[in-house]
Amino acid sequence: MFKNNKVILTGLSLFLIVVVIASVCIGAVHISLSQFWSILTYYTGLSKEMLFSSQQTAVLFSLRLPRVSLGIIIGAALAISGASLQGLFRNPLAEPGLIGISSGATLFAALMIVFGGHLLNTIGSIYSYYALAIAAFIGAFITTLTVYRMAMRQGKTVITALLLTGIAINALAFAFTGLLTYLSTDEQLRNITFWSLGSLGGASWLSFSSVLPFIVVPLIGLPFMAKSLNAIALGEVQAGHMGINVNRTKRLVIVFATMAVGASVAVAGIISFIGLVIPHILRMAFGSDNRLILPGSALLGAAALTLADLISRTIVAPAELPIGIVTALGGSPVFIYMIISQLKKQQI
Amino acid sequence: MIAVKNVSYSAGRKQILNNVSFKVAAGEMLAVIGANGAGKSTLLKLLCREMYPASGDIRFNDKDIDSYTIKQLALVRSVLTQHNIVSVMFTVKELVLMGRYPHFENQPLANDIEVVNKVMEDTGITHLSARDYNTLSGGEQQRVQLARVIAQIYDQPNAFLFLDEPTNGLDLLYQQQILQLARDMANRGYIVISILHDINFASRYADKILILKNGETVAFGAPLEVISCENIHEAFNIKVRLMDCEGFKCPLVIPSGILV
Repeated sequence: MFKNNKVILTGLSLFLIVVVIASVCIGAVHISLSQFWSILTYYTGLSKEMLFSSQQTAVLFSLRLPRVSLGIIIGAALAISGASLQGLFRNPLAEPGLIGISSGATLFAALMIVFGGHLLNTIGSIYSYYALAIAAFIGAFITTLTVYRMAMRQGKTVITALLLTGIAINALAFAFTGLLTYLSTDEQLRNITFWSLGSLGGASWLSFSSVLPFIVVPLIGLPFMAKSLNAIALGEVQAGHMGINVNRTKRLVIVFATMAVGASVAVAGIISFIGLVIPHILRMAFGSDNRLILPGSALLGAAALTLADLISRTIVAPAELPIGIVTALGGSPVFIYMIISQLKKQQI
Repeated sequence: MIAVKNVSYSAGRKQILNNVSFKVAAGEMLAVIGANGAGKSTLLKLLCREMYPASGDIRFNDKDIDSYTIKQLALVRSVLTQHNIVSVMFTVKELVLMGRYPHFENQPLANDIEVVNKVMEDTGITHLSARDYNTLSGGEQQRVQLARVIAQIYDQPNAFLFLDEPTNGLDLLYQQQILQLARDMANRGYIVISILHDINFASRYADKILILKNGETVAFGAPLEVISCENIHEAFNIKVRLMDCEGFKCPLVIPSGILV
């Protein structure tokens, strides 16, 4: 079983690498595979030959790479936090976007932009990214706690309460974010709109490096929760009998997951369905062992978002499709299928 | 050894357990019986340290239960609760392996895999190993859950197995299989404490029986000492007849009406 997991994770890593290479090469300025290889060997000092133009390297280093890197970490963050929240809520429908966590994060980020505008201007750009990420994290954290309190009864998720709370929080956050647009300046308005649509278009090395720590910590921490989340699948009481410190697990999962979601929302807005669909596909294919599902979701989520971004910026070129449209087109059918299969098992 | 001394518990104003005391020695199986609401489940929860007694103390192997860490407790006792709903798809083998969680950090050791295989053999579920738990019948699911809790303490000396109505909803074959597996654990030197509804099964498989009524001890002792018309009358409010039967160490209890 262990070896099997290794094989699957290696396969997913290879898939991610292929998608990443495709994604950095394809676009308005085309880079062929041999040129890509030449750039790689030239800059690592393995070869002195330059079979590429300086325009290509400029595009690669200052546009494509930061955007692809941001896609990788955000895809990984969304999928792994989706997977671990589903473990915590004991339900495959718990997704950051669906249950209101992303919109809670958006609301707090919007509050920060409108009321903290002065602060953001004075502290400079990298710190303003930090400030936004922290605001989004606080928003995500508060919503998660609210949803958890409302939806859990005696260690069991009341799925109707979970989804209805999600709807209520989404509506509330949407209304407040809407109100804020009346108070905001044109520039603030543009920023807020960007949040509710979701895009990797704002990617730069600055935005990438400012959210990196908020995502790396959960990416390292969450896989260590896998065993405890497996046990929680049997019930919180049962997990306690198995020597799992359930409260500590809950706290850590909520902190890590909201940190990752908050950071993603801060730089890329709400990108839905990744956290729902990716873990589900893996569970359908390989079962529910979180020791595989959590790292697997990170890898497949990274690949999926990179791919979605590649599609969103090439399919209607030179224009760009909001990435939310691509993930929704791919994700909603899977979501509907999940609802139908849950209805069959009468778990709704 | 498990020593329960003067344990009381109340929820709000309602006294659920009142001064319950008993001792169980290694290799013994204790059956707890009593009418609904007698305090059986509460007693088991206190033994699992899911809740804390209002007064009195519980000692495991001469150490107060409170002095154990969560992990130490998991190495000394395992618990089969009622209603085991698994929210996602796990194979039988993955589920039994979860019993070994207190024993390894992130990857199971060779010994854990060995224990899992042995326990699956003992409980007769090896052929189900790759099946999805949620597709099994009720009786099979219960055996898988029992295998999981046995695996948790399989290589731990002086450990305890707690079972909460393990035969609920099972047919007569599965009921006896489950109780026989519990009996085998006691024969291997473990302490088994099980809540049971069937008095005849209790007296057949257990070494000692604790009868509770409204949180108080009606009787505690070997089946022959405690199974009497008076005790059953008192605990269950029913008329019974006792019938000696060849091959049974204790007379069979036959309900014969409701006390008015």
